[in-house]
Amino acid sequence: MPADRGLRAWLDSRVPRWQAHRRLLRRLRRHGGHDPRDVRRTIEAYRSVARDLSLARRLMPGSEVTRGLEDLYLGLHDVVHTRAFRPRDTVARLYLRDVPALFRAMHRDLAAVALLLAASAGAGWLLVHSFPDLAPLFASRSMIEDLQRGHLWTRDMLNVMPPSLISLQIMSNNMIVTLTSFVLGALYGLGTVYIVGTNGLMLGTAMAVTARYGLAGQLAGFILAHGVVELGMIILAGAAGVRVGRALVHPGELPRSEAFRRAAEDGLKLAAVWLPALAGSGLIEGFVSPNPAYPLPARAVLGLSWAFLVWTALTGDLWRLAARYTARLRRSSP
Amino acid sequence: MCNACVTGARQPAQTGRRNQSVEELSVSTATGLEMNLTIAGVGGRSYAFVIDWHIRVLVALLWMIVFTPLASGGIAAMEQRLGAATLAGLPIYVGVVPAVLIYLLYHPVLETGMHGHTPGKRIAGVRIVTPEGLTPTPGALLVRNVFRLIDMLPLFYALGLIVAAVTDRHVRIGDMAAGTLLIYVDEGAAASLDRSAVRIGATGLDPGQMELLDALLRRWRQLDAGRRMELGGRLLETICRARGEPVPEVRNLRDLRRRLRGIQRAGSGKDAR
Repeated sequence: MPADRGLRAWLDSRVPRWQAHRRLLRRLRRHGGHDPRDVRRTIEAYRSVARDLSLARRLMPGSEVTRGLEDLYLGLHDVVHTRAFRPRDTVARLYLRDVPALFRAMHRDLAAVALLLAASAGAGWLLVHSFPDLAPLFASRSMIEDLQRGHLWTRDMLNVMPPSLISLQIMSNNMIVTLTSFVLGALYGLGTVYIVGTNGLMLGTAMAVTARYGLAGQLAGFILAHGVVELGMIILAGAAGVRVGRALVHPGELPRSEAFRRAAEDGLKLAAVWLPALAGSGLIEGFVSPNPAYPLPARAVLGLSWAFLVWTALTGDLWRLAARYTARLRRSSP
Repeated sequence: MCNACVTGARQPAQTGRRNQSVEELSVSTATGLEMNLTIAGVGGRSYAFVIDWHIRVLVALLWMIVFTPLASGGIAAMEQRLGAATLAGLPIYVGVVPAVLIYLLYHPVLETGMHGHTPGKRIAGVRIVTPEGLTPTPGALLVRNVFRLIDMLPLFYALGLIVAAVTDRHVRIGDMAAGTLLIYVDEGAAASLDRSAVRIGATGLDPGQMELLDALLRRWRQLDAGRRMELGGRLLETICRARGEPVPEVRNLRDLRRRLRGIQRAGSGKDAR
């Protein structure tokens, strides 16, 4: 049977090549391919396997050989077309270009979410101020009893837990709240509105309850060092969530799925700033805010400096300044 | 970037994995070849998740069980020496925090490191890919995992499961956000290429005969005696003629099967009894 003999001869000649291609693929998957020779070899292998697969599909449809070739071809297709991941370049692009551009583009969303937070805080304040009996709905009985005795609940924080644990608890809680606020934007933005609204309501009621017992100043002093950035990041995450929701409601010229995917990706880029910022605020809230040794001016300076640093990180100025400073240092060094 | 044209189509699977109608992702590649990838449904997805969940919970618990008492013991010894309770939080940092990190970072880290796989996905035979059939970027995998926060609502991934059950490509919200989907991977395909090449070389059969022989022996018990004798006898005759050997006298069905198995096993290095 000459046809069968021809097929066997073809297989005998091709199998060693396929095995070599498989070895190349395994090596590229494990270590990546930085050698130009590897790139050439991969492209050649991709074309060669494509030809062989095409033939195998015609001569041996559904056979083990065809299945194996399809798998090899898919692997090579993946290696050839997947963009190389360079962590250093990705991080530099993220902080220097993507985040500042996004931050500039979303000023309306930021303003809207800030307004929502302020309005819900105002509503919370008004509610408790007008109906003081509602205070137990927002604050626990023990907290109110402490306030009645003239004690702010934050005063005993350091007696209950070491500052590092307080920081850890606060930062993880804040990170979860902001990520949830962003992700719930997928419910057409309503989830984000709910999270931002309830946070504002809690803030407003807490201020109103403490003001009722003449302790609002102390609470403001407690919040001063960490609160500016913390609230700012809640607003930023909320704005990212609102963008996700808007992408679903008004996708514009893009397909809805693509608009949603892009908004989600953009939100995660912003999380690269808000998550470290919340970690920093958590440290301040654990170590500085509950500690009476830090006077009000020191807290104000720390809070504003931290907020300025985060702001410049969002606008990209921080990294540009750092790069300029490093370049100057390099020039001045012998 | 891949310039592949991608279409989702409901058509019968070509891979032989399933006989019933399954959904496939059709990927047109740069060389003009079209590849059909079988989309994993809720079952494959859940199976992989349950395995991964058990692995990460067990590893995290094991870490906590081993390292928390170790850290506590170390602190007690240090406190005796230092005479002060200054290291109260250490067991949490050594025991609990890494365990929580293992639990939370299991999926993003392994999916990135294993090119869209996790141990659970590997066992379930599924893999995360882009609609172009490529490995997703680390950013996309991170988005996919952050959106678990919504998929897991209100309990036990109910929302994610419902969405995966009703969407065309069986994707959860996280997959939509990341632009990914889960496909079945033919795990045996890589080995089958080498195996079949070796067997074809050793048995002298052409690939068509090899496939036919495998299929007949696999379905041997499902066929009635007459069909077995007819198909098996014809195949044995064809193979012997192709190899230039005399056609042996077959005494009974058992003898026929033994001879066919002998030919099949000649290439796998197993005993031909």
